[in-house]
Amino acid sequence: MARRYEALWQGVWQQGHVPASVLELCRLRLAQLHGAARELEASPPPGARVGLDPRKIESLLHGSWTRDSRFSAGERAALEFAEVYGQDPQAITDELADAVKAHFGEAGLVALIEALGVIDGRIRLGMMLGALLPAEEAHG
Amino acid sequence: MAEGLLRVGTPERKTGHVIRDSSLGLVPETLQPILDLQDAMWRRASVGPAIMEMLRLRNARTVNCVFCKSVRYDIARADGLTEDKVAQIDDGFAHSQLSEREKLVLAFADLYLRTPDRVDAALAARLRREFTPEQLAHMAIGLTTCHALSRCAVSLGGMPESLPVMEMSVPA
Repeated sequence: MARRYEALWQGVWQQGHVPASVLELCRLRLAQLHGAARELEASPPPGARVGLDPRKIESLLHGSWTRDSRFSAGERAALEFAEVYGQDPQAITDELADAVKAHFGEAGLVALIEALGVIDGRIRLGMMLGALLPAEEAHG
Repeated sequence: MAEGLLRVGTPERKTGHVIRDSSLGLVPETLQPILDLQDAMWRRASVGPAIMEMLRLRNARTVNCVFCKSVRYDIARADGLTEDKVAQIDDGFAHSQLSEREKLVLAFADLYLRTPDRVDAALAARLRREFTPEQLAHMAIGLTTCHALSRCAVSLGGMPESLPVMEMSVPA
């Protein structure tokens, strides 16, 4: 099961609809919302920061991304969607979804939602299993 | 939540497969990994389908995914999960007639769904006594998969206000 879960994790980062760099920004934002220090300090998925301006990450982590002109409209749409998703998916509006579709298409919206689900899950598992299972047993 | 329209379409080419023909079929790169993971959850996990179904339904009711709440997998019913037990998968489960093992399964789900950052040491010890590390890992992977998929369904919109209970097989 762990191998299949890993295959899905790889799949969300390698799909061709939403750039991995956009997902990386969303991963960091979700980790922030969860207060997940371990996830924020974790190595990014392979290739996730290729072409991603490190100043954007700094801006995101310092809470100033909404005022930072370096963020593209697509990145903003994805981040705004991710923020609401992270708090309550039922609060997602058609406007938030339409903004994502305008940049990444319908498949992009599906890919983003799938990625947010897998990222959110990994953050939860990281927080929970670390306390529940000894490290050498958490990879069964 | 007000009933709205599905926010994306579905693949033009229909296959007769409930998941491949859904909006998830728009992203073929993740479709097969999702199907493979679901297959492993229901047919290969070290805990039986009844336990997996309890985790899925606790998640469905917490996320309020109407689709997920309405489904009963035949494989779980065959493994002994009755509607009487399903009715007790609510916020009062700790005081229900469910077995202690079943209550622990639901407590595990609530830990993941509500307070993953605050693992009670006593609960963790009880879980470790009742389940092997492999079983806990499989429960965790199954639960996180259900959670991601139900949040996906909610996020994509088009959720009806309610649906009748319907039994179905796990998609092959």
